[in-house]
Amino acid sequence: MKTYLIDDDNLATYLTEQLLRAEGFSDAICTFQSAKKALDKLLMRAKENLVPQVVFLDLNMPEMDGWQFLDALVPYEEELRGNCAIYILTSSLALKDLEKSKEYDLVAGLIHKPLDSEEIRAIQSRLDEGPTGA
Amino acid sequence: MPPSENPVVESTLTYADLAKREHQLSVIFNTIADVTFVLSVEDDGRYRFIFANKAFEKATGVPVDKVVGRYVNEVIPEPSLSLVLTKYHEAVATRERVVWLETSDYPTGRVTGEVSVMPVCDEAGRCYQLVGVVHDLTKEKQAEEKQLLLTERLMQQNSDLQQFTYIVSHNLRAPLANALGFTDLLARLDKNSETFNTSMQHLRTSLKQLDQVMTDVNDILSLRDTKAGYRPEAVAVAAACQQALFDLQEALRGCGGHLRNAIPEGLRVLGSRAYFHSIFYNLISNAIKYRSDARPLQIEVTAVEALDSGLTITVRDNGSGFDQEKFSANVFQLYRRFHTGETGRGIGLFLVKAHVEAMGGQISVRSRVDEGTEFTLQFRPRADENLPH
Repeated sequence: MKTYLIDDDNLATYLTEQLLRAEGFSDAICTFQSAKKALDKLLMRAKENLVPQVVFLDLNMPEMDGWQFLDALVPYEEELRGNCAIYILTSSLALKDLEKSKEYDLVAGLIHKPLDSEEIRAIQSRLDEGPTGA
Repeated sequence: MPPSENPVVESTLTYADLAKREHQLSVIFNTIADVTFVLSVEDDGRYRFIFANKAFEKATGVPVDKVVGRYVNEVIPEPSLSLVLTKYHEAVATRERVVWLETSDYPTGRVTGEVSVMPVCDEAGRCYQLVGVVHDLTKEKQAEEKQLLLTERLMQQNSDLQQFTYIVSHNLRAPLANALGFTDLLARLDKNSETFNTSMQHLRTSLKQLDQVMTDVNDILSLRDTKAGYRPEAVAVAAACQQALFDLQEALRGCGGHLRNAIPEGLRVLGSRAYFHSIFYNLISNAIKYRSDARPLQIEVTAVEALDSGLTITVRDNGSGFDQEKFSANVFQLYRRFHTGETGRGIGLFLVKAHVEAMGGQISVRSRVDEGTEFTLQFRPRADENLPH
């Protein structure tokens, strides 16, 4: 399953990647330290219909943060919906982040770090069920 | 004949009576702390002072004998004049008391008062006099303004605190979440695998980061504590910069950079040596961290002292810079970072600003992407330096 990890924290991406591998979730994991670079790549891939099925997105990043990344994707919502599930993966416990995440169609869920096996399995089974036609 | 004598006797009595009452009234009026005056409404529509009490003289600084007999427009200057004339006209036209709030600059200071003018009418209903009273609300107004300022500061403090809690909790949570995750992962890995070793190191790094945040919190809190007990000393600025440079020598040499310290040798500034050291240390280490790969790093530190603007210290580099329009408002915020892939924790510039402000100075920044960054520290002229912060 093609997966993007977007997080400026090297340790966090390493951890998430290893956890996903240990769980057999994905063998095609692309990690990005910069949301901007991830955005460019994703939009490029979108033209070839090769968008990742899952994106794990951190919120607190310099230059372009998670929200700005999501804002930049709003114009592409139509073509991404059903093909690309974005999970916010944040260490923040702030309720307002959860509230705000609900404003974005493409966001499939918000997960508090660290990602654990239970969560990974839940995502897996939801993706297996196929797009729920939001 | 009694009938012919009576009016004379009566009128004499009345005159004495009047004089006595007039005296009594004037004593009363002059005892009243509120500014009190009487205006005669002239046939041509102008207003002439026919009475003013001592409080009037005290508030305006104009002697009563210079007021009585004069027209209002000769005594009251613009812009107050236009306002009071409008109000007088209103009182005359409506034959009712008119009240308004007015702030005027008198020789004795700024006075805020509630002014009221009461029309006095004859039997035909024609208003021929206005009795004016100014009730001094300056103290109330000052108390109100002080209260407002206090509330504002309190709210600012409160929002700072909230922000601080939010930021710190986030920055505590990030390494903590990593540490938790790594312990989870480690339990499932083969002890002899490379991933196990790397994860072990990462766990250690996460815990170190956690410890670092605690140290930061401690630094920031102690900064608040020492602010109250801050005693300025004469600091040799060039030496403070040189010391910071010495501490960073290795890093600077390592990247092939160069620093020119152009601060006059003899320059002494009232402040804190530790603060100046921290300021230079953080600014120089930032310059090193965010240098441009395209050219060797050049840092220039200068200090200019002028009588009117005080001391200006600038730290300029030719590094990678940042997008000023996007970020300049946030540059000095705690745990704000603007560069991907660097190790900055986002506390340096926060401390620099806090230290500059603790010494009564101000800091600003100008930057251009790929050209460099310039920090300007401004300290007020010496005359002000003894003022409490």
